[in-house]
Amino acid sequence: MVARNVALTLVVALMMLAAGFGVGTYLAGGTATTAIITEIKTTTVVFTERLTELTTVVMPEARISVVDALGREITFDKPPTRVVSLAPSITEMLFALGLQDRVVGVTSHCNYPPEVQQLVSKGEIAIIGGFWTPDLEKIVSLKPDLVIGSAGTLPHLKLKESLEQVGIKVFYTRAASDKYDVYSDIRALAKIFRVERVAEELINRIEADIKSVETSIPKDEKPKVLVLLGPPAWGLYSAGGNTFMGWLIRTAGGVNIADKFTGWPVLDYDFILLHDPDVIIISAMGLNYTTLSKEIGETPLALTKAFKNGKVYLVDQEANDILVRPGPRLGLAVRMLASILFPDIFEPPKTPVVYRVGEGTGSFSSAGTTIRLSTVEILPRIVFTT
Amino acid sequence: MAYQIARISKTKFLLLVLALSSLLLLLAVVSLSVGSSMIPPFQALYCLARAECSETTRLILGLRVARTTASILVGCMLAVAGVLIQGITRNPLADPFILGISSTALAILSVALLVDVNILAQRQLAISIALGGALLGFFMTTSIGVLSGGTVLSLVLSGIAVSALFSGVSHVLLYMLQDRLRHPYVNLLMGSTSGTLGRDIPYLAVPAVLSLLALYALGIPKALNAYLFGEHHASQLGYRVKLTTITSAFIASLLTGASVAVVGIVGFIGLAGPHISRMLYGTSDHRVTVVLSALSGSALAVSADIVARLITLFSTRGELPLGVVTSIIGAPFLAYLVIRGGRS
Repeated sequence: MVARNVALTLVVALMMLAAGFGVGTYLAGGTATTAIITEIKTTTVVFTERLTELTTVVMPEARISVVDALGREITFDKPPTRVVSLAPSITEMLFALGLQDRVVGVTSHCNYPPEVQQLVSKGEIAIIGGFWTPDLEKIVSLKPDLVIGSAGTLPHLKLKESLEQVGIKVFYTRAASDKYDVYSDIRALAKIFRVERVAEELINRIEADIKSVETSIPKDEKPKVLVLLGPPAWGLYSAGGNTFMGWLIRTAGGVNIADKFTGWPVLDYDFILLHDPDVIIISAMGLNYTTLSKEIGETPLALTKAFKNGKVYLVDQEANDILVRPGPRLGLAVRMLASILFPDIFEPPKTPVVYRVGEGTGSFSSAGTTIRLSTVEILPRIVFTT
Repeated sequence: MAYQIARISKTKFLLLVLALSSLLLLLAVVSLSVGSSMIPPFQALYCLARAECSETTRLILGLRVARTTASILVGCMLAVAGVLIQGITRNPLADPFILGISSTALAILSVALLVDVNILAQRQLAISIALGGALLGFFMTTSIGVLSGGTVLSLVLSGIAVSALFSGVSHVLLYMLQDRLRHPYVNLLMGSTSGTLGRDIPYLAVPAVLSLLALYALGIPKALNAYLFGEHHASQLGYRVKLTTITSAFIASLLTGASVAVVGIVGFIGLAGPHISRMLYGTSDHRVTVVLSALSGSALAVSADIVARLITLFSTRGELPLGVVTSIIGAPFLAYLVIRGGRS
């Protein structure tokens, strides 16, 4: 009985303590916030006034404003010096623009140019999580003055409010559906950092690359293409006509059988057999190529023209990165796809990890699949200069 | 469970079985002819009867037969599992996933994928692993249930605990996995028959046949009738309550686990199938409801599968998950039956 009373008293005392603490913090916190807000207000007013004076008198281009993919106007008083990139394609753009010394944080998926990984292992660039899983606290702890995310990625959009609350600017690139989206992203980034000349050179180079492919593609022959994101067992996820992949296929001279869809539709074998693709491109997602090609041989994909003619391609690692990232390696992506679609006209893809599956065999259950490494030669890296 | 056990009218029962079977047959034929290429129903049947038809048509029909069979089996299995779970828990809101089966299946599959991501491309292996996970979930739930007294309430509560724990665990694991695969993980959670092939059918058919045989061989429907008046009543009538509870839960887990392993999580059928069958006949007699649920669950799943494919034809977004469609087309029908039942 005594023990119970003591325990009860203790619990009540603890609860009261907690409540008191809570109220106290609330009150104190409340006053503190108000104080800070007034302070900020006053400084901002003074600051802007001074700045307008300065801009009119001394530097006419001191303030830069850009519009991002969400249609927000973002103003910069000076080019940012500490930048966090939330996507591999954005990292590639920043490095291609020669801004590597400004980058302080990238995702664990950012692996190109190889310089990124060197800088990460040297500790000069921090990893802020994965592409789908950026870590807010990690980003804030790097004290960036600009975070660049992709407008097509929900976890990136969710960071907006929290980052803006702590005074970090966020710029969103487009969910690119063609080369023009990529160009305008590159141009916007170049404007922020005032490297417009480098951007125009880069875009001209990409454009020349695409033109040289476009002029060599046969006009009368349009192979039907099926793209699958991941192994068939993962679900028959393909790329619709309005995606970057859809644009790549069109530009490289193919016809995407999932062109009438938007986004990333789930197809069924019915649809695939009906359209009977001439070429199938499967993103291997880092799986074992033998296992994967065995699986493909056991599904109805083995009944398609593509499999029977040995035109099922597994793309992985660097080849896959090139195809799925709407970034400065755009020209390379078009060339690689064209070389897969028209092996007689273009040289085989020079990027490692493009595999060919299934040659001449096409029986449903016991498909004898062979894999052949089409080439292991590594493409001489494009050196981006500023 | 608002219904009395009425005297079973054999003719009414047989008529209902006949009506539902013919509906199912009709739906199956429609299901064979609907898809990205429309094959007229009669041509589809001729083609299946080895009459002349093009190679492509035959291939596509082969796929559709597999797909239709899969949805019939899944509908039947989930609905029967629903009858069993609602019977033993005496709760009309119980569904087959209440025993924590789907979350353990998902958790074990994601552990396996983290160990070796190649399992993703070995469908047979992945199905077996998920089925193993589902049964593991059943054993955990039952052991906790038995340890805490072995009543039906303790079984339900331990089911809730197990499913809460493992859905948390599986989401953490899939979160890790998504970073490795560079794809969002929601794909693994959505039930769909779009990728089902003929070789997957045994994984559904064998558990389905075995469970149904065991169900009647052990006389479970009759025992569950005694449950309607409470566990005490059942034991006074001479039924071994704990044993029956655990056996029924095991059969329900096997049915649900197999369907989760092959097509993924399909909601609504397990919950609504039993209700639809009870309202059609107007009884809670399990000897009747098991059969009628199996048929109405199948019909629901096949029609959902047809609608899912029809939507694909006219939308630009590709195929919808089956579970979404089942509730969209099943819920209005259930509402109609509820209104009609309430009036009379």
